[in-house]
Amino acid sequence: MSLVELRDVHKQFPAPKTARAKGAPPVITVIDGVSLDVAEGEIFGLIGYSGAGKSTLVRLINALTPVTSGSIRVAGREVTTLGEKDLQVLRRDIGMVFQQFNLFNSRTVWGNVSYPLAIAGVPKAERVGRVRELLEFVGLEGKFDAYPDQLSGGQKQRVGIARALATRPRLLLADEATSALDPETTQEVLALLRRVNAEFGTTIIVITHEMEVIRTTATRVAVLDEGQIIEQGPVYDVFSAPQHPTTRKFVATVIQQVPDAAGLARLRAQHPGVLAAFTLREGGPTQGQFFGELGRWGVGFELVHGGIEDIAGQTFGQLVLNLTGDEATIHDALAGLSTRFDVRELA
Amino acid sequence: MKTRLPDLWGLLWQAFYETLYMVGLSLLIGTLIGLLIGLGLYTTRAGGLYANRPVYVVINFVVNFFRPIPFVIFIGAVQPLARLVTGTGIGNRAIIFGLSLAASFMISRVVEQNLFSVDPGVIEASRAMGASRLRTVAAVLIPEALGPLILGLTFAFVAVVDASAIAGVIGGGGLGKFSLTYGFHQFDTIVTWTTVLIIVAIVQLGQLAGNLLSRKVMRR
Repeated sequence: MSLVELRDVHKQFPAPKTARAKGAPPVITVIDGVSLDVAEGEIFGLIGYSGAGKSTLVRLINALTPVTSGSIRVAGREVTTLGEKDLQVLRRDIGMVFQQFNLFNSRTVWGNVSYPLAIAGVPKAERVGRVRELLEFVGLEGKFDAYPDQLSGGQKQRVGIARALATRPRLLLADEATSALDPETTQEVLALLRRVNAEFGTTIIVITHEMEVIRTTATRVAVLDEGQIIEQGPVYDVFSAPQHPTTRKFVATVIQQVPDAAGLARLRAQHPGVLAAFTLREGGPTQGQFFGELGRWGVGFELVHGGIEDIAGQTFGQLVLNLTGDEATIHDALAGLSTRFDVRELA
Repeated sequence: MKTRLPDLWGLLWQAFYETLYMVGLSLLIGTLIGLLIGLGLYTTRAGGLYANRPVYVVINFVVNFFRPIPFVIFIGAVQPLARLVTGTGIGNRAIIFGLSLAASFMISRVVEQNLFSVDPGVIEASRAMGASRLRTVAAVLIPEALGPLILGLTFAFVAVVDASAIAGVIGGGGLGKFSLTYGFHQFDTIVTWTTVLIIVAIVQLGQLAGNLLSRKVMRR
């Protein structure tokens, strides 16, 4: 069953007065007919450029921002029609982690992490135990009495995660949770999110503009562009065969693509043979089989571009080869090989 | 230089006490009302917790209307209201009424400005955790702004001390009245400057206390 279900969701904001004065439409559509399903227990990635509407979309889910139209269900409950009191109860079951951490600077780590518990009416004695347990989980046992300004960025985000998990929510919304962190700390925080998912079964929606976050952490991904989902599916599928140009641009940030015309021209200048692209997929024929076959045709080869990547734990490679030898043989070989392997000559 | 200062210590002490009383009580009432108006201004603004344009426009207008009135005129203008509320239009009770009212309007802006310094992200975080709006105001918004708020109130304290010197105009007492009556009008520069020094001392002490307190709250 889907934990989160969006159907034809629209969100419009009134346009600024200055824009309206110039004859612009009175509203700006930020989310334009989004439908998606997030299954219980998965890590769902939502990627898009800044301004694509990601942050708005995620705030529609816990109704921090009200929808304009459409249906949003969380755990089977329609949230778009809930009143303030019911929303408060619902939100206790949805944790949220923020790009800028949003810790309360006037409170200690204990004060921050215990706040959602106090809201939920948990007695103090119980809160102390729960906060200790959470701090141990995120690896900050010694920081119980520290203030946020005494912590590093990564530590702050771990406090943010502990705070978001305090009431044992079924759903965690991570809004650009690693975008303010350096690469090393990013990996630590992503590992923590994966651990939250694995150990507690918490469903996580990860909002990001970094494909690397999706590659290492998400199981499924949706690409948001100008308020619409332009592509969605299992991370491996989207990464290995991106359909939409925007998706391709994102994928290109983490996976080496076949070079564009200018890149190919440069390669060609350096390598006089025939250029061919070979795509390696998880579960498909192996590199060994491919190169063995190529050898049997008597075709020489060298790897001139590309690499092999791990996507959501699966292998994917996009290799550009320079094939050398008799040109007719090379073409025969490519024709023969293309029936069993994903290989094509680069014109 | 001739001075009657040695004969006036008793009156000076009395005036000192009256000033502290007027300022203290007015600041207390002004802070409570100013905090409420300031919270009203901040939360009813577009995008606020209780966003409500008509309410905001009204509060904003009232504050803007009364705040720029020079206190010496203000105290006269609100005299009928003072008589209605406190039962008298003259003396220390009336001046405390006027001071409290003027302080409320001034402090409401101080409060509003300092609440703006709070990162909206923490308010959003509190709401995302399922906190009610009231709880978010009391447990997050005010504590997060407390350090600068105390500094703002210290500023208001100095302004209230300043304004309290006008009490004599409507028959109130205090150091302002004392200084004018026994110093300026008697050409007794020593008496004038003695009250100046006392007022400076009051302001300095208040400022020091405010700074220490805000530093403690902000842990710097």
